Amino acid sequence: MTTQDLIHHENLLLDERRYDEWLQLFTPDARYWAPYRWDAPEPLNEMNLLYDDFPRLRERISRLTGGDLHSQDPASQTVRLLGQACAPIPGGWEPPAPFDQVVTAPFKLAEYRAERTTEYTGRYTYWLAETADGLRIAAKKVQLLGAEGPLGNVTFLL
Amino acid sequence: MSGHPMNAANFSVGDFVDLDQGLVRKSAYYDPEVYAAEIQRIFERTWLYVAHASEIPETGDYKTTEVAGRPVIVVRGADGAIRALQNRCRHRAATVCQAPKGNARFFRCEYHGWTYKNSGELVGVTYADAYQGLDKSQLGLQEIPRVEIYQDFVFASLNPDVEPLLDHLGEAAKYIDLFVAQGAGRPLKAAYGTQKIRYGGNWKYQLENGCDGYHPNFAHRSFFRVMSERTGEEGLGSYMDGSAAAESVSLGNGHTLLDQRNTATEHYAERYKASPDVDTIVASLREELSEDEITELLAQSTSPGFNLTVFPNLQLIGLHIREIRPVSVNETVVHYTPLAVDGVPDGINQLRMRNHELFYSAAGFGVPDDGEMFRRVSQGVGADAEWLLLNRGQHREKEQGGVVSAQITDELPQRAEWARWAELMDVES
Repeated sequence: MTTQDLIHHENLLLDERRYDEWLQLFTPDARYWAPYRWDAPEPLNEMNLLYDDFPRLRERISRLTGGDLHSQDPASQTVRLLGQACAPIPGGWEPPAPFDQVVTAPFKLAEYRAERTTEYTGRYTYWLAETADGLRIAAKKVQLLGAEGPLGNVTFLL
Repeated sequence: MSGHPMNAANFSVGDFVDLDQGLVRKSAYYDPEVYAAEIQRIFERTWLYVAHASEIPETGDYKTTEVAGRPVIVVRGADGAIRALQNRCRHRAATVCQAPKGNARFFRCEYHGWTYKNSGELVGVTYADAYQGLDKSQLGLQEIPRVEIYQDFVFASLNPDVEPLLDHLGEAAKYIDLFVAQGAGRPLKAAYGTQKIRYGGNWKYQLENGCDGYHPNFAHRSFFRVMSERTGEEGLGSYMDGSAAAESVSLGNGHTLLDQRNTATEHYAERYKASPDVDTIVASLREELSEDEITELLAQSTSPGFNLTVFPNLQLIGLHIREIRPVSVNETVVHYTPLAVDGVPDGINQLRMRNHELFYSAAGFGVPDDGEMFRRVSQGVGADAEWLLLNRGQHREKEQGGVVSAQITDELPQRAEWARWAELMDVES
């Protein structure tokens, strides 16, 4: 799979709520990070919207698929438009897992839930690793526009 | 008291709440006239939490906020005093301060150039020769008349005759002391900013929820499930089930408590172990702190073991300050400001933030499920049934020295909050 294919496939799996397949795209030492502050330099010394390792991501998915997550009853339906990916501006945070390349792409996400559509805009950055199983995600960062302002229910995976 | 109009002529508290029966009428949550009366009789009349002093530690430090709908600058002046100034140029009403926080000696209105000291005093009027008899001493930024601070919690009141803050806090002050003690002698600091969560429903849903010990095992079922899968512990929510030895408490003046210290302490003390990066963080802590210090600080890294509500807009839950901001009768924004322990290795606060995010983030495993319940209640009150039942455990309240306690799942806190609501809303009082 090419880099482009991988990140579009990753977006598609989230939109289709195929979470178990989605999780298999990540390395076992992956991180999934969404800061409140757009310019947050790193996740540890920060209050985050989420900062998940693999076990926490598995718990997130267990909730999303467990039938007992009220904030996703009804579930959010999402469509993501992914902009052109490019190399990010160098510098900044690096995840703990080894990686071979980094790409970033702007996104627009429309979420429909309980008879309301909410629009989100932001930027995804992917740290990708060549593994024996193919190209995998060693980290994904989600910068969400307006995350410092009031947010509603963002329990679907951004 | 203020210029906000409200025709209260036909308003009767008894129409909305039956304290003897523990009943609240549904329209108390969506009637715009009730909301307008609440702003006037509660939010403009009692003490409101407005800031934590650690947000503005230095001379000139400020944060902008809202107090009962008014734009306000909370600022530390050259004299060290914290003032709450209305953020409104006395000329033609533009706000004079734009940033959420910062440091300033002066606030300048960029519309026509009027300039104020950070104490509020008007010191500069541009092209002043065009005014006859302009009295600058009468045109300072309007000051919220009362500001008092308890344990770094800054409260303000629009009511110049409000009782002293300590009288208002009463028994709640003791629990603020205990909340502050989680730093094991070190001060707490609002070092990680504020997250904001909006829901489309009345502010009292959040007020009632903060010390609701009945809902966790149901509304937060999925949280307890994944946590017990992680830790292998059975019945993780049992520390607040219907037979737990934990208590709900009415502290007086509408302040309430969920006290789980005798049932939940071990769960809270262990929670950090499920955090990302925990092994490397604890290893680095061992280089700087003794095992006893690490144990003591991490035992307090999830919760002091109780939830406290200070009526009407402050809750201390987990590690954070929760400020309730009504926007309209049907819209509320809740501000969450988690506190770090000052003067400890970063790892302690990193684990505190991970514990905070786990449950309380807008994408967290707890708070969004409360928000969903507020959405459902907001929808449900459109049905015909007239009353909400808050009478659980009303027969088994125990009173001692003005403090009333009951089993943790009993709706004593909600009844106490409504009793205070009724007291303040009653036009005769």
